[in-house]
This record gives sequence, structure tokens and C-alpha cells, in this order.
Amino acid sequence: MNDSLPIVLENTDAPIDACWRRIGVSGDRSCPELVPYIHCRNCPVLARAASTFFDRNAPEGYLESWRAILEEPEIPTDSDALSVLIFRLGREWMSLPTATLVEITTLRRLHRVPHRTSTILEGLVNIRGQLQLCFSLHGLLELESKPPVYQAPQQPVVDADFQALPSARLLVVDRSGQHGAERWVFAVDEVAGVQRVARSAMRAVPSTVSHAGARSTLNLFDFQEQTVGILDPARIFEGLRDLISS
Amino acid sequence: MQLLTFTVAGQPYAIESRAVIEVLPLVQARPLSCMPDYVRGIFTYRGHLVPMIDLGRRLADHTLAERLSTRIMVVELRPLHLALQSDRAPTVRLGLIAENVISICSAEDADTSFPAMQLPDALFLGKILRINGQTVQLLIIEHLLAPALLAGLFPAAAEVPLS
Repeated sequence: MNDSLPIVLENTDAPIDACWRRIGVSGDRSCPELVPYIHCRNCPVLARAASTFFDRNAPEGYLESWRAILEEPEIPTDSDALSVLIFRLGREWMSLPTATLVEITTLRRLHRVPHRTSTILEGLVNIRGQLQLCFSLHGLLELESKPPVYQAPQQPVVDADFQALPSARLLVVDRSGQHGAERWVFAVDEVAGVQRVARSAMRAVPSTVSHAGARSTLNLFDFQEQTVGILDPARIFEGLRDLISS
Repeated sequence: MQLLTFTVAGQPYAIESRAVIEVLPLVQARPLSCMPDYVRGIFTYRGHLVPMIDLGRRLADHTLAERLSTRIMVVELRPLHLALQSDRAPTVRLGLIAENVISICSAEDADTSFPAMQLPDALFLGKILRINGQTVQLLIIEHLLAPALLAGLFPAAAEVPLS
């Protein structure tokens, strides 16, 4: 929206008329320009006033501090890293490449599908007004633990600030392959966050481990003294495809 | 094509933003002897030494104002003499200083343009575009330094101060 911002600054010492405080969003909002621009931050008058900020001498010590910053060597960006979302299933920490992730949301009511609900396929869940298939990653990986279950609040929360938020979340994952977009939802016990993992920090899965979880795991890495498995999204989606086609 | 705009002696100029790594405040440079006046010196950029080119001196006999908006544009380019030596020529960095380095614009917004001039002494002068009521001249950063000077500053691929 800076299409009217001049490249050449008019060198004026005239005091800035802070119209945004008078008639703009910080004022009484009577400015007629608010109709096309909606907010003062889109208005060229504010942009011009903001650009005059640069039209002065550097504050004392500013250039010296920048000289010190530029002395620091460049940290090479690790382009060979994989960004993953780390979450917990029962006692195990797992992760999925963030590229497959669509959304993290709170637990919600599950609609069971008669005769189709199994240890893996849990049912349907309403995500932004659309019913999505919900599966149990615990079940798919043959873990001992069970996925967290939504419980309706017994009574209205009086003081939400002092309520410890339950850590369980629903993750929405997506894959667009040759069969069109597939979207699945599953519950996790806790989400730890997104982490970039360098390829050099990844370890192979020990070949002696052969349960379903290990077969779906690409690599292992250490995160805060925990060993985290990176799940192979392709394997997970294949497993789910077999599940609904059978 | 996005352009980083700036002014020299009140006239708008622009370079392709694709070549720009970072825009910095005008830090001090160590002067270099036996250099044309538009080479202001050499400064430390993230642990590397990078030559600083004064566009005020290069484009006009103009002394740049010491304002916050007078900033260093750190650009990356592939000098022609190194490109001739090998296909995977390394890039080199220059710090270009000019006034009012505060905005970018899009070359697609240009109403009309004037083709680049082919002046043997000023090959860096590129196309002139009319954007939002301002007449902006593009600079071709590969030609900003005379070939002999560029080859002198960055002699051979192996000695380029970049890995």
C-alpha cells in the first residue's frame, strides 16, 4: 500500500501533523480517508510521516553498536535441516515433518461411526465446520497407551486464568498425493513445539526394534534429554489408506 | 521484479532487490589507499571484509548526507572475470551506500520506460522507469566498478574472501 510513498523525501522541518491521533484510528475516526484505507497504517500520510523518522542523524552509540554486531561472524544457515513438530503419545515422544501439518487444535467431541470404529479409526470430528476422519496414532503404532478422550466440562469454568489447560491436542495432517488431498486428524497427549533438526543430529532406528512404531520411524534425534522419533508421513498415510479401503 | 530504491543527489535510483542481502546503517569503513574516490574503504560485514562503494561519488560529485536513511546495501554479485574462469563462479559482496534507502517498489508498476544506455564509461546505468510519478534509473551492479578495479579487488576465485 506504499504506492504513494515518495522515493525522494521532502526535507522539511515542519512539525508533523499527527492526524492519526486527531481524526484517525487513535482519534475520533472522523477522517474521510478512513473509508478507502480502513486503517491509518494503510494511509500514505502516515507512511510519509513514518519515513521522516529516518531523516535525522543516527543516535549516539547506534553506529558503534552496529559495528560490534557486524564483527560477529555469519552463522551458516543449516539448509540441510528438517523442521518437525514434536508431540507425545503416552510415554513416547514422536514428531512429524511440519510440512504435513495443517492445524493444532483442542480436543473435541468425537462422532463414532457405527461398525467402522476400530482401535485405529476412531470416528469423525468437526474441524472448522467440516467432518474429518479421526484416527488413533497410538493404535496405528501399536502403542500400549490410549489416545486422550474429550471430556465435556462438568461445570462452567469460573476463573479460566487459574485453570491448568489440559495438554492434549488434536493435530490435523494433510497429504496431497495422486489420490487427491487426504486430511486426517489424530489426538496427542502433549505438543512440545516445532524444532529444526540437522541431518547430522539424526540417528538411524536400531534394526533390532521391529514393532509398528519403529517401522514407521525414519530417524531418531535427541530433544531435551528425550529420544524423539521422526515418523514417516508416507508410511502413516499408507497405513491409513489400507485401513479405510479394507 | 522488486526494486530497492534510493536517491543520490536528490535523484531516484534503484537496484534489483534480488541481489540485496541486507541493508545496514552507515558504519565506519577503513579507507583504502590508491583507490578511486568512490571506493570509500572496506568494512567488516558479519566477519568478512567487504568493500564499500560510495554511490554519491560514483554517480555524481555528491557528498552523501549522514542521516539514518543513508544506509549500506550489501549486495551479492558474480563478477564477469570470475564467471569466465569457471561455471561455478563464486559470488562477491559489495556494500553500496546511498541516501533514502527506505523503500522498495515493483518494476511491474512502471507506466513507461526508457531503454538502458550503452555508454562505454557508464555501463552500470540501466533502464529508466516511470513508477508512481517518479523517474527511477536502474543500476546494474555488475558494472558499477570498472572491470580492472573489480578484478583487482577480487583477483582470483581461490582468493575471494568468501567461502
